[in-house]
Amino acid sequence: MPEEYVSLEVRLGLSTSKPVDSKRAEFHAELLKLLFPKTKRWHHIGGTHCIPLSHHDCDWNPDELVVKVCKTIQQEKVDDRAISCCIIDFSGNSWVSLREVLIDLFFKRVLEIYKTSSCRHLLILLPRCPLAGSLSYDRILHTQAELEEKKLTLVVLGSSNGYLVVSGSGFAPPEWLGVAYVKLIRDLLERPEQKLESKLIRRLGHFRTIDTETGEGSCRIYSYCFLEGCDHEFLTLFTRWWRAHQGASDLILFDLKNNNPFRTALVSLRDKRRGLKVERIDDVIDNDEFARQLAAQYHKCLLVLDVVESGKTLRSYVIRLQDRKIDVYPQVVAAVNKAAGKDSPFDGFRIKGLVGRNPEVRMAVCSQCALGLPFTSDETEPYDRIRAFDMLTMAKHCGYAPEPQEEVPYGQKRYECLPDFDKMLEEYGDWIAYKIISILRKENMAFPLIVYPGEAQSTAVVERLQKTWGEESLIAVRVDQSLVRAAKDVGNEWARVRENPDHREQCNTLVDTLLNHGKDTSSVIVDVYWGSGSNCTSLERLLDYCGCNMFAYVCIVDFDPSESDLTHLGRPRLSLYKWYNPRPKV
Amino acid sequence: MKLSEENTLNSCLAIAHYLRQNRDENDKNAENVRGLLIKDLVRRVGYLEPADKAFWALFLWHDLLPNDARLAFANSGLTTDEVRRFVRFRRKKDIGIVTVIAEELEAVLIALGKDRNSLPDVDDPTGRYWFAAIPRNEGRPLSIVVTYVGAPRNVPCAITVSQMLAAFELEMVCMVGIAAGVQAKVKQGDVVWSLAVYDYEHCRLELQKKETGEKVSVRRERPYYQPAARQVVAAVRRLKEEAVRTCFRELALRAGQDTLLNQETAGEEYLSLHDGNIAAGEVLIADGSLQTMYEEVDNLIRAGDEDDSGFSQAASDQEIDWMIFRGISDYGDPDKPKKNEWHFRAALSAAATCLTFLKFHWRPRQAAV
Repeated sequence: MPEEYVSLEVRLGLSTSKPVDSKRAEFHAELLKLLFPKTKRWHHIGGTHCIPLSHHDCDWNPDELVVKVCKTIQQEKVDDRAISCCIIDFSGNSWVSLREVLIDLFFKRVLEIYKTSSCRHLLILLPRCPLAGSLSYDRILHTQAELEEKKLTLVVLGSSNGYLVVSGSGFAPPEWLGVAYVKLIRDLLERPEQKLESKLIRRLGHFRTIDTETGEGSCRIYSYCFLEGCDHEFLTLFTRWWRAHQGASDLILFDLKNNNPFRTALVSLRDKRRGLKVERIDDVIDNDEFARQLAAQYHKCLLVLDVVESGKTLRSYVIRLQDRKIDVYPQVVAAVNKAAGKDSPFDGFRIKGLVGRNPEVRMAVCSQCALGLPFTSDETEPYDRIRAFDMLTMAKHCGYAPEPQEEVPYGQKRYECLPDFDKMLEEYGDWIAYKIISILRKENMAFPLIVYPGEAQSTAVVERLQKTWGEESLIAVRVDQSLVRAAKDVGNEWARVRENPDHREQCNTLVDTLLNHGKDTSSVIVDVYWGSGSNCTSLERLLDYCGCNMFAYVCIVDFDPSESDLTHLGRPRLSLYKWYNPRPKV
Repeated sequence: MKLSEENTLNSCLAIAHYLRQNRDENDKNAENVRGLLIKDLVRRVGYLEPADKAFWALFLWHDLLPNDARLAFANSGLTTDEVRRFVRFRRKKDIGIVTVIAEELEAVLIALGKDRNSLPDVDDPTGRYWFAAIPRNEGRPLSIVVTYVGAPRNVPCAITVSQMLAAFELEMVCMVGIAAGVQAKVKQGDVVWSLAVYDYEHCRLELQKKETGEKVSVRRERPYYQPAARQVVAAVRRLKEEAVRTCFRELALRAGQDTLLNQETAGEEYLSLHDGNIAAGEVLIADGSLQTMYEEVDNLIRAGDEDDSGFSQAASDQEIDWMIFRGISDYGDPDKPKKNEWHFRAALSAAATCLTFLKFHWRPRQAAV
């Protein structure tokens, strides 16, 4: 007889329950094989569910989580017979976001899960195993007596730092469990290389590169920057490389003017390793005395650069360092290698890029210089909004097309010609999301509730926002187009939409979700463009009906800009670009 | 909640650029795109000042003409470029640098990474201008416009500065050049930067009766000082001589003038920085009177030349911050040779000082240029 198990995932930032993705479901099955190698077959009962958790829940009702888990398990179990194992998976969240108090109260009531599920083994997967001495750790140990009495087992696994087993059934984990589990979960989670790739934003502007040797300048339209919060990925990847190149040097010289996360990672490495010296390369080159001291002590340095493309800057640094009697290690580490793939040779050196990109075609004549447009900074965005040159560059590159028929608001006339926003989001979506997030963060929006119409393009924008901001920080509630249409039919009176039997159930779920997630946080309506504002009005009325506080309407392009920058109902209307092109009249 | 955005003029320039690219495409989609761009451009132009609006109206009309009509328009000698001169079409740059003689211009061009004999990027009735950028360790590169007066004395210099300020929106102007120095205080190759400009020509000619009863004309000095802005002076004070010397060495190598480095005297610092007042008039001092001025009029005087009063007054009149860097090429005495081998060396010293100042110690007020 196969052994039966139930598995649930708890995910911060979800607005509603959804099935666990298949990769994670497979991971759960593999984990059971790892822990119970003698069991021939495992049978999963019920569906697979992600239990949504909001920041409000974490702050105000942390002890309700166990109630939700038990309720879900009850729904999954077909009958009252005992099952072998229950898996509760928190590992897809960050430890910091989960809050210690939530985990502590969860373990305080963990025995209720045994009672509800009638399981013998309970596996709790956390982003990090509670440390000895912490409240959660003590809670886990306190279960020992009761688990021994009932011959049950509790296994707590941390993604990176070990595990805890409390067993009253004589269960003994295999010796290699820690290492094997880390490998298993690493295959599931995004690898640091992938995470770093997803944190690299390509920005548009008028960027100037100066050749440090000759002083000559050339212009670029793209600049790369990494989002904050990827120092861990930089540290992991650099440490990995460092370990493989032990004989590199104890002197690291870096040029990371526009890369705070990598700089932070290097400083963190220096703090952990005695004898490692980490300095800015300009501080050495511009100060002969300091250079002499370093040359006397180290003789050789490892260069760490932000972006390597033509190699001119690298060559210039090497010459100037060698003039100062400091040799350069033959491998150079770059955050972004734009020379020829991630790893490439250059002039006797090997460039190891943590991320690779194609080289940019340099223009013989810069059209932005010819227009007299000012330069923009590699470090910061010059403006909240997008410049006209950049918007039109994106539009030209992605093309123009008629408005997709399904995006035309009910009762309105179609735009015959608009930028192709699908392609624009595909090519430049990261930068667009970055700019929207920058605006919201400027207004201290930490965890906004995003409400958006269920159109394909709006969905694409929100997915980009979640990818850039982090799913945990951004709860998004989709409002189906059928509901928006229904609302417009009744003058945006959502009470009447709810009364309609065709829409009642869907509307009730929507309203419950908004009521649950919308208290104690501000809501932001996100859309692709403002044509007539009809979608916005419907969603504003919905938020009013649910008693949610609306902060603003945000879109990429406002095709009917006004002086006041307000919606029809008088709330802030924020757009990344104003482009006068009102919707044709019916 | 107000979101920041680029200025309307720059957005109009960008739209016009893409309109030009689209102009010769004839399919339906291109026509739709053109309509989209023109509608937006027309609306933006509505926010400009009347003179700029007039230019854009002409531009739009001109650009929408069929090709052959547009060519005929150009052949008549009237183009949008001519109209552009009448409108306030100022391009935004961070810093303007003014040079007077050829050696000064060459030194500045070398400092900015350009060829010393490079042709100007703009050469029209408004002036001759070279564009460059200065990279910085933190922040975006500074955008630079350089101009060349080509004639000595205050008035030509003032005219050039005024023309440059009419053509460019600048945050600061710098004068980089050579001057005679007060021998008691400075040596050849040193650089003096200005606390103030002392215009010694400002005087009153009066009739004075001598004991003999004869009336003679006498010159009564009326000291006229133009002080540099306090915040600019504070920023320049942070300059380190070592950093300037390092820069000078690099520029000398870049200029292919290694021999300049051989002029270092063992044990002596070859480029020192001095703050002080710069005496400016309408004459080239070669009679030793600079020393006298230092001793008898103002013991803060460190250098003298014939352009700085026009420069500083033209800048101050437009409320633009300014600073002067003068490399000392001689002492304004009878021993001063007509062609001085120190001219280029002194100009390069001044250029190195200005470059080091802008690179490390000056911050633009504007968020982006």
